[in-house]
Amino acid sequence: MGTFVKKTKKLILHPKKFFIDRQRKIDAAKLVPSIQQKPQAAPQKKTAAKQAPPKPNPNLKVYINSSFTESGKLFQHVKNIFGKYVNLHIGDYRFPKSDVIFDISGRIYSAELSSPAENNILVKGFLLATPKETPSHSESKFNSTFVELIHKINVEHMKSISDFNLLYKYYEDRPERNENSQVKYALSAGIYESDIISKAIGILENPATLHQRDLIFTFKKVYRVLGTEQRLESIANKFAAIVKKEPFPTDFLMLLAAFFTESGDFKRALEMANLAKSKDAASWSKHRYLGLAHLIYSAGLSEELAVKQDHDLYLSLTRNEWEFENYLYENCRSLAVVGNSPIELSKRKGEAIDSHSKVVRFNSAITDYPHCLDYGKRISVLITNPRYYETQRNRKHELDFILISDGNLFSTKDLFYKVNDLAPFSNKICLLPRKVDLKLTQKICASPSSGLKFLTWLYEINGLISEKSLFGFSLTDQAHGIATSYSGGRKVGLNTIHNWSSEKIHLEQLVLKDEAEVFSK
Amino acid sequence: MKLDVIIPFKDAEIHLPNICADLEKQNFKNFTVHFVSDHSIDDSLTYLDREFSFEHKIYESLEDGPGAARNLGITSSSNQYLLFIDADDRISPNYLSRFEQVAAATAPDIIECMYQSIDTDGNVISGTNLESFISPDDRFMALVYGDVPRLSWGKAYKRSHIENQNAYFPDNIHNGEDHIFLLKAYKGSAHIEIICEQLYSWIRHSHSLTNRAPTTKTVEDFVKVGELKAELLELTPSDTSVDEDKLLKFSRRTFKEARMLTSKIKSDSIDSEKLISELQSLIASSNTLDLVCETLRNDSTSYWQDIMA
Repeated sequence: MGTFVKKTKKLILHPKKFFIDRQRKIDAAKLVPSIQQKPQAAPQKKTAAKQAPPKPNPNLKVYINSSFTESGKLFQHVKNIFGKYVNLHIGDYRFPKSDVIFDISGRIYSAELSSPAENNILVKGFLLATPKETPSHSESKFNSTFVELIHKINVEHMKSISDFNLLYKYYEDRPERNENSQVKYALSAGIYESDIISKAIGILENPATLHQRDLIFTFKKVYRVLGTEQRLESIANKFAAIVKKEPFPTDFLMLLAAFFTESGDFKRALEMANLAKSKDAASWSKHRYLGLAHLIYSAGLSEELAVKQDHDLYLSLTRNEWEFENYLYENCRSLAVVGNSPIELSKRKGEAIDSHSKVVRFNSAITDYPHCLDYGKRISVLITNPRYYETQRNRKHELDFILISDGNLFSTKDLFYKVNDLAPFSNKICLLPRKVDLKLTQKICASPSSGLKFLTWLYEINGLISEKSLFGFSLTDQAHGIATSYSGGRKVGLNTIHNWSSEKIHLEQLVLKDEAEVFSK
Repeated sequence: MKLDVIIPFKDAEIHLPNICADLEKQNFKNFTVHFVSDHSIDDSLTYLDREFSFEHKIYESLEDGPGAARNLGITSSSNQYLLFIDADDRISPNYLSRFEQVAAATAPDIIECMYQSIDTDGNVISGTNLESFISPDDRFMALVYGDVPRLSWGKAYKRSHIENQNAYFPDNIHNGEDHIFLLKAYKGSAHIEIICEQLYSWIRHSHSLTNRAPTTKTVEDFVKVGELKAELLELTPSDTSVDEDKLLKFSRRTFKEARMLTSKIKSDSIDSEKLISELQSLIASSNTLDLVCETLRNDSTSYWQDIMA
């Protein structure tokens, strides 16, 4: 007898019992989830208790005016940073909006809050709190507590918004600064001055002094600045020995393999790549370097699709680079290079730009009305950083070439994906030459901008560049963490690590000034 | 901007060198100190008869009490802002400069700084309550209800404001005269700025006025100050429309202070019964405090019984 028939029979013959039993079942069903939930609720509570941050000392109180900023983001940021170290009181207080009052066991100290926010975005280059008067450490323990609190708050602020540039400068005068931290912050900030690089090499030569994570970071950065220069090669050789004895992540082993590919030590490159593969069979397709893949494929060591793809791409990018050099040489007489600085706004240079036989533009390069009136419409070559988030939204087809400004055949990881993203827009994609990037980086002691890299390459092919063919290059209206463009306005809070003042000096050496202007000077 | 500093004193020979040293150390120099003697009989005047690095003037008060001495300081000086300092207290080297900066920036009617109360061994006993100090609540009512200390020092006053408010110290009152001066100064919508720094040190000497045993004069002053406050707050029988809420709060506060005074009388005075009886009699016979007494007689609190029973 089926369940349905049984139940119907029961309903007809014993209706009262049917409804009583039904209610019992409903009640029992209600109990089940609560019973099941109980064991789940307990660990949740436990996790929450575990994660609760330690409460600040009750004797450390800080008062901030609720109206100190109109930026919700800055307000929350200040709450988060201060809340870690002190008992924060926010209210409508009588003291000035920008003041912050510290009550340390009854001793009162005041500091000034900066307003590092623009359009509700946190701006780099500012400390969060500055004491109105810096008390001496020795005077009392409260003074040192205050000074230490301000220090912690500012460091936390800089780290939380990745303001390594300021962090590096901040630590210049701090007593706790050591060589390791100086180098770490400088490299994070993209400061590649020769003494920093020398110190970094010194640190890498004694790897025992550094945490493995910092060691890998330092190696990557020095490799980015020096390439396979002899000083780094001997260090890489040491690492090649160390990684055989100590556990290192496979992505670092693959980076070492990529390094040796570039340096021409193919035997060691394959040794490192095989070591990585012995630890993780998928490492060759997980950590992709074009030069290394070309080596592996050419040596007949792999038929993996990823390796084959990278090998093909290596060959195509190398060929395209050669073709692009010829293209530049052929078109140099009528080539407009258009940067994105707002300096050309309302100057109506659009027609003049478009009258060139070839037009080179960068990244977003908006050419819609009304921007085309000042910046022109035509585009022959797009130079882009594949990480640049606007590239995909700014579709430009039938381009003669696309140049990838940030990447090279050897040390750039996963370049295949980046190139693949750009493939629909042109079948001619190439990279800016590695040697241009390295030379320029060492010269300006920072990571060069796409514009400067391209102009340097152009200079190396054709000599001095006529000032008349350059548009939208200012290099003075941007600062650390700030970028400006004619179409996007001012953008803040970015991780821009270009040294604009050094770039300006270098650019002036590449450009042939208009004769009349030279004469007038 | 030039500041006037008014220092009333009575037999302060041992304290004057300290405060004069503090004044010499000020990093702001454009000020005149007006020393007003309240019938000193020690060598204070001899001490002051010398050259200091700051400009100073010496006066002899014709009336009695610190209030009269301060009034003479007010009327004898002429600069845009004036500050009172007690001769036995201490100030930080940036005391005057910080007041001058705020005065120059926003020209407020009154500027307040924070203080620390320190014993003669240098131990911090207490100080400004930060939360009350920075609170945006009405300062005048806070003074009425005793939520902030009623002290004339640790502040700078704009002269024109003091004159407009007719804010002077009451005659012949030696205890609580600050209350009346402050209520007059803060009445209305005074523009107040604060300096969140502990710039003034109130030195608590065992023989200071606040630590002396209460006398008949103390009791008389207490009632007189109460009457003056009731008049200022328009809470007397002659006032036509009385704010009932304000009356209740003020009455309770007045009697709370009376209870504190009786406790002090009981603990410090030899003739406590007589003094308490005088206090009861003065309160009961005061026509000005009629509404206050009436309010507390019918109040749910025990204040009336505590004082008058």
